[in-house]
Amino acid sequence: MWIKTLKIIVCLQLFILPSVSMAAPLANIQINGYYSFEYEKCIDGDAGCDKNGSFDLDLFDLVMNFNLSDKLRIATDITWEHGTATEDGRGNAAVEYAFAEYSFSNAVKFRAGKMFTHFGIYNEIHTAKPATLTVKEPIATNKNDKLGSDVRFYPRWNTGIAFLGDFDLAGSEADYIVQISNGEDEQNNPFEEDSNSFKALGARIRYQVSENLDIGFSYYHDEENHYDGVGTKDGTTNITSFSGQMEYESDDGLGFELEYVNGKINDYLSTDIKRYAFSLMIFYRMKETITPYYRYEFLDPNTSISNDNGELHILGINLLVDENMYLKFEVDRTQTDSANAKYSGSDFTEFKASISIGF
Amino acid sequence: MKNIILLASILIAYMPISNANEEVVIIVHSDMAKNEYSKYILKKLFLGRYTVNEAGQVVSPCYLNIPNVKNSLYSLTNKTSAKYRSYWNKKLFSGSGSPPKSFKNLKNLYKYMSDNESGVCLITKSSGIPKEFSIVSIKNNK
Repeated sequence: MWIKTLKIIVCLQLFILPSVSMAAPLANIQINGYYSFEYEKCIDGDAGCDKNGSFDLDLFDLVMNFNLSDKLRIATDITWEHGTATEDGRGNAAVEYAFAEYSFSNAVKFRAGKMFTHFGIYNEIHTAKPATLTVKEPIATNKNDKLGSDVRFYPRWNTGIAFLGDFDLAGSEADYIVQISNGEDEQNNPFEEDSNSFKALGARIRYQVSENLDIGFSYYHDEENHYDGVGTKDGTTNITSFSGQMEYESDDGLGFELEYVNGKINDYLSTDIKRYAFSLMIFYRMKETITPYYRYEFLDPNTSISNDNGELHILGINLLVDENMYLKFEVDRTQTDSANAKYSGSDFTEFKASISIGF
Repeated sequence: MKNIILLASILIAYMPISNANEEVVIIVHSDMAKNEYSKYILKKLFLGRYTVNEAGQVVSPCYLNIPNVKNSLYSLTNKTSAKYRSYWNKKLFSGSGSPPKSFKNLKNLYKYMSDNESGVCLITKSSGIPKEFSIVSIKNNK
């Protein structure tokens, strides 16, 4: 009997233990995540909102860090959105990001993989609802195609390589990132294959002016294929976008966020389209748990067209009710001009509420 | 007698610490080459902006999760608790890094520090610091 047991132990040592030793020890794996549940209902107008009022299991994300050595880690965010059930074709399951990062020093790190496009304040946290005061990120500067633009200022994600780091500048802290990627494509999977030889370039630098004030600048440029109605390439669209950002919060909790994006598209017909957008949010953290806010957003999708603008007013409150659990309630008013490609002047007002939890 | 000492040690290690007047200090493993930090570097360390020290050693911040240590953490990083939470939510969920590890009791914190010589951890001074760890000197300059 004991010989049989010994054989089993030897077999385990030969086949299982070597493979275990190649994996990251459990202590070096960190699992975090976030959860968001939302309710939305139209309270005036019906052009672009939900008349019935709906609950939405917005997302459940797992954020994992595998620290393989002192300098090497793999980071990923896996999301299940809107009650994912793939058998029924419902919801969405996706890799928000998955990259390997090697640290040469505090100032120089190298990444390779699928990443968020690091542009402006919100894109890299647009799914992380516990990290934002409002129910949604600003539409005008982040999802401008949902407010009348043909093409976004930049894509949500990219696959490629990046250099990034933290450094001191004039006695204050700063960070930077430079991303080189396949860019975006409507027909093919840009996270697997580039449909043209041009590589998209993205960059951002942020600087802490003081303990209360941070500023930053972002840039994105790509040449995307344009396809006709049957999916044949008929030209190239050049996209260039710049942004400036400013985040301020006083010691008393009064703060604001300002983001301005300016961009130009040279479309497949060689027509230049200039556009810009901005969002301004003012908030006040009362007793650190209650934060009322107001945000104004504006988008001009094409500066040569006078009546295509869109704007949003958002008034809401963010309540911290437990460790990293937030309740949010807000009223959003969307107003557009008659030539706006999305809503053509049909204004509407929505009530939104959400529960978001980080862990 | 040995059992009584062992039991007492375990009780002390698990004992919740609630005296708000206890001095909060930073400890490192005695084998760590660098045991002197400026406030500026400590701030960067606990905000995930300083991960490798001048000796080329990786540094991993941690803290004892009790009110007066957390207050010292907020003071060290120049952030209110809400701003600190918001800062790390953004950094963690965007894939930029993980917040300092926190421990509810000293036993687990000491075990972590024994297993990770890179640990730079905030605790209370009266916690009975084992000999394998030393208290960090804090300089005022950068």
